[in-house]
This record gives sequence, C-alpha cells and structure tokens, in this order.
Amino acid sequence: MAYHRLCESDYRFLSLIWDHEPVNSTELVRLAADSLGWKKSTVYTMVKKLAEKGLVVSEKATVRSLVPREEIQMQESRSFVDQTFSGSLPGFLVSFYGGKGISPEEAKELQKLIDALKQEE
Amino acid sequence: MERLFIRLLQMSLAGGIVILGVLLLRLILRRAPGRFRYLLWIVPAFRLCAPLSLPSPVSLFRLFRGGLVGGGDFTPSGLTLPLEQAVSVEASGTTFPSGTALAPAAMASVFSWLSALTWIWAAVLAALLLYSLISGLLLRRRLATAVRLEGRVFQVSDIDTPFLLGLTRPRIYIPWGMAGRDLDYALAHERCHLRRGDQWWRLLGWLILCVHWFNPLCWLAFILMGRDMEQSCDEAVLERLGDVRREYSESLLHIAGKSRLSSPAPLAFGESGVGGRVRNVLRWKHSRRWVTVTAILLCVLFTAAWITDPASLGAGTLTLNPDGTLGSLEWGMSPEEAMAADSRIVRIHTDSDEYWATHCVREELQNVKILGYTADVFLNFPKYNIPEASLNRVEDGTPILDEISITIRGEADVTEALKQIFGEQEKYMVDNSWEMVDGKPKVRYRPGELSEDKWYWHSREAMSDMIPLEQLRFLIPQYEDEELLGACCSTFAYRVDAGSYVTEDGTYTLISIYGLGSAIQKHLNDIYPLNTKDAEMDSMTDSLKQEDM
Repeated sequence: MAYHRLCESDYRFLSLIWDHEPVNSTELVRLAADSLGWKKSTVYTMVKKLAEKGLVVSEKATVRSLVPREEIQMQESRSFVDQTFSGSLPGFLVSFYGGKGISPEEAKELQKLIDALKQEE
Repeated sequence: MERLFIRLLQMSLAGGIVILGVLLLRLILRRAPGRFRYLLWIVPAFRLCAPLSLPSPVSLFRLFRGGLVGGGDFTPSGLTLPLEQAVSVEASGTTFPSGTALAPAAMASVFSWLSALTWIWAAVLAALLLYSLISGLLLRRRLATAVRLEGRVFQVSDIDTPFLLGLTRPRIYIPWGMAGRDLDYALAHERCHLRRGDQWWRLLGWLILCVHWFNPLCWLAFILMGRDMEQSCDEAVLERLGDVRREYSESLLHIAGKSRLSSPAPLAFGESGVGGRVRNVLRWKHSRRWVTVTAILLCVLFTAAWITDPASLGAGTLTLNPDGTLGSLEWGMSPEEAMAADSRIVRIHTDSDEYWATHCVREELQNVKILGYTADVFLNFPKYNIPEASLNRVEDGTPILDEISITIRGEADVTEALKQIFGEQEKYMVDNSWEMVDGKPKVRYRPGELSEDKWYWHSREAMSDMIPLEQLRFLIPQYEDEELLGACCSTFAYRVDAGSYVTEDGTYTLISIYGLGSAIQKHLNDIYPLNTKDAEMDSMTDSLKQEDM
C-alpha cells in the first residue's frame, strides 16, 4: 500500500486514534480539542481526509485505524527529515509579514557583526 | 463616486507628504527606541483615512497652501480644467474663476476619463480585498490542523518562521521542531506583538494600503511600518530579558538561516527584514532618559504639525465695480498657485474678521445697490464642496459669476454685519450660516421670522428633500444617477440650507431657493417640469416661487 506523505499534524492525530481506538467520534473530538487544540470541524475534516487515504475508517460514529502505528513510523521517519523547516509560507503571508529569508552572504555578514559584539564583551 | 475618488486623491497626496515627513524623522530617530518610529506611523495613517482634520495654527500644510488645504485638498493637475479659466479671469477682469463652470463639452471629457480612473481604482481595491479575504480563509483552513503546544502557541508544518495570526483570538504559530533558546526568544517576541495588539494595527495598515494602492509611498510606509513593528518588539524583548543581544540576534539569524530565501514577494525588497533586525538588536542599549524625552517631544511636535490643517488662509483680493459687476481679481499668488488652489470661497474684507462670506454674485444683489467694495479672496478649500454649477453660468466657454450669496458666520447680528460690509442700504441679502456637524451641514444661524413650513425646508439636510433629483440631474448632467444621492447631495446640502433672504426692518424674505441661482431656479420649472409625484414638494416649491416674485 502506497502511503501519501503525512505531515506532523496528521501523525499526531493518528497517534491519538492509535492510543484510543476504537474511539467514539464525539470522544475523538474531545481528545483532539484537549491535546491538539482543534475544532470539531477540523477533526471531522481530518478523519475524512485520512479515511480517503485508507488510513482510518469511520463507521457508526466510531473511528478505527487501518494501519499499524509501526508501519507509519517507518514510512514517515524518512520523509520527516527534510520536512521540518522546508516548505515555505503561503505567498500571501510572506508578503503580509515581509520577507524573512536571508542569503548566505548576508548571513555571513551578520554573523561577523555578532562575533564583533562577542569580542567587545 | 468621482468626487469620492478626487477626495481620496487629495487625502493620498496629503498622506504621502506626511509619509515623507515620517521618513525624515525616522532618520533623526534612527538611534532612538524603536517604538517611537513605530508610533509615528499613526500620523500618516490618520491622514490617509480621515477626510477632515483639525484646524491648527501649527499645521505644516501651510507650506502647501497652493496645492492643498483642508484635509489636504488638492485638485490633481489635469483634473482642474475649471482653473484654467482662472488665468483668463485676470486678463478679462470681468469674470471670475469659480468652480467647475466649464464649457459642457470639456466638462464631459473630464468626467469620462475621471470616471474611468475611478472605476479602475475601485476594481483594484475590490480585487485586493477579495485576494486578502480568500488568502486569509485559505490560510485559516491550513492552520486548522496546527497542534497546540501550550496555551496560544501552535505548531505547524511547512513554515519557516514563527508568526502571529488571528484578530480576536490570535495564536502564535511556530514551526515543528523549534525548541530551546530559539523557541524562548521567538515566543517572547510574538507575545510582545500579542500584548500590543499588533495584529490590528497591521490589518489597519493593510486596509489603508488597499485603498491607497496607487500610492507608492503607502507601500513603502507599509513595509517600513512592519519593520518598525518588528524591531520595537525585539527591543521590548531585550528590555524584558536583559542584555541578551548576542544570544537573541544569533537566534534570529539561526531561525532565518533555516528558511530558504523566499522568492521576491511584492512587499519584500531591499535589506532583508532579518538583517535590519539583527543590526538593530546589536545596536540596542538601555535608552537614556534624554533620548526618550527628545524623541517624545519630536513625535508630539510632528503629530501636531501634520495631523492638523491650516486654520485659515487669505490669498487675494477681489474688487467689485460700482455697478455691482466684478472688477479685478488680484491674486496674492501666481496664477499657477491660484489654479491649484481652486478658490471658490471668497472672504469679504471687513475690519473685523468675524464675518466672512461664501461668494457668488447674484442678480438680486443689484437691488441692494452695492457701490463697490473689496473682498479678500478666501482660499479656504472646498471642504464643503460648493456646487459649482449653481454659482455660475457659462457663456462662450467663460464662467461668469451671476450670484453672490453671503454667509455670515458666528452669532453676530446679521444686519449689523451687512451694514459693516456694504454700508447703509435699504435691503440686504442674507444667507443663513451653517457649519458642518458630523459631516452634515447644520444651520447655525437661522434668520428669524420664518414660518413653520419654511423651517421645515430649512432644517432639512439633504438636497434630495429640497430639489427633486430629476431637476438636479437636469441641472448638472455630470452627476449620474446614484452619485446624486450620495456625493452630490451631501455636496449640495449646505447650499440647500443656505437659502437667500432679503432683510428689511428686521424681517427676512426668502428670495432664492436653497442656493441655486434664482434665475436658474425660475427657469427650471419651465424647462424641466417637475413630476407631480410629491404633492407636498410641489406646493412648497410654489409657495417659494411666490415668495420669489
């Protein structure tokens, strides 16, 4: 079974299901609100998304996982590596908050300035 | 809507000038605490959104009186066709540059491209707002699955840098895996934004920018405001945590270094935000008291100078001939300045400054037998937008003044005032005085002896109640349908309230209806008969016509 790439949030949510399955959907909403800070609608959207990927199944208001935790962990350990800090903010946010990127040359120059302060001390 | 747009251009120009002022002051305050630089942006923001402002003797807009006064009024060159007539005025000596009494053909062309520009502006504004809304909603959806770390702090994938988002319940979003010193400093920084409610200020700035999208200075201001906001937060963190300049700036660099150089976004250019922040942090010291005091003083002065308008302006002299026609007009400024100034309000010169007049020469005035007087041309900007068409008629493309109405301000005895201005006469013509209250004209002085129904007419504030819209439209064709109810009506409203009277033995007789030239008004019903929809209106018009005879 080919898994779609999961992001950290997906994984946290799956973990919640693994820990409590089979879990009543109302209970899942409560759990997600407590430990993840999610809204009800977010939980339902997420269950739907994971169900479409064949990772969980939701029947009679009960959610179960379809894949064992170990399998996902193996899969994901590789993709998590380059995931952290990799993507970029949506263009709108970047423009709204101003560009935050920095070129290697500028980084070097700034590091020099910081080092100069160190020497002063 | 065109009027709204012109008004906006005026505000944008005034705001732009203030932005330039802020840029200058920022240079001086370069080393002062960042919050002063941040606070300064309030002034241009105010200028850019407030249609009116407070009069003050210290206003620096005095310097620009040729071009803008009164909420930063100016008429963009090219749009000021009426003022081209001002030059011919000096030459002919018998006409007067007043308002937009233009040859109809010229007027039509101005209005067609003005309205095209207005539509472009509105379309871009709508697009920007829509774009912001959609982006905001998409972003919110994306961030729904952020996982709470603690309280308001949420972790989210695929971001480079911590940020604050949300208005009423803002959340701090941090990248997954951020920890240790980076996290502590990032949270301290974002919490500072949170405390100050920066998300609201940023939104306000963004909305103003959307409205003034055509003004490059506003874009610059938005970017710089963002930087000042960030840097003042950095400084607040240093003030809280003590001198951690080195650690803090290394953390900034560390976080920034992890992110890829983002593609050039529309709002990001020049020195990257991080570079400026690091340099600012390294420069930081506990601010000395005198620096703070000086900065506060400078900011207060700056605000007073730019947030207000000049209290009043005199600019030239208008002389009437003995037969009541207009004599020469001597401008106290160059024709170009005069053109830019768009003078429509004339100040009657008296010994006392109490009395001033809105100006237009009226046929009835000849009954008053004025034997020549001098009036200062009072270049108060048309805050109240006198409707030009009612002041003039156009003959062979030349605007001719054919009415004068006089507005006495203050609680002075009207007849006494007129005596001072015109000398002893049998009759005086009087407008009632008015002032703007909450953007609407309110009659301040009402000539006495008005019957109940006239009071009714007089206390109304909207033109649509006075002169039927069809007639107005007929009179001033450039105001199309819906505009008439909005901009045009409010524009006309003051003239509406300012009906004209003849005073005799302390009684007042209405001689002209609500500021429209009585000649125009008289012919109006013949040329363009009223619909008889509003019986009450008709009967009142009739009664007024009788008054007129």
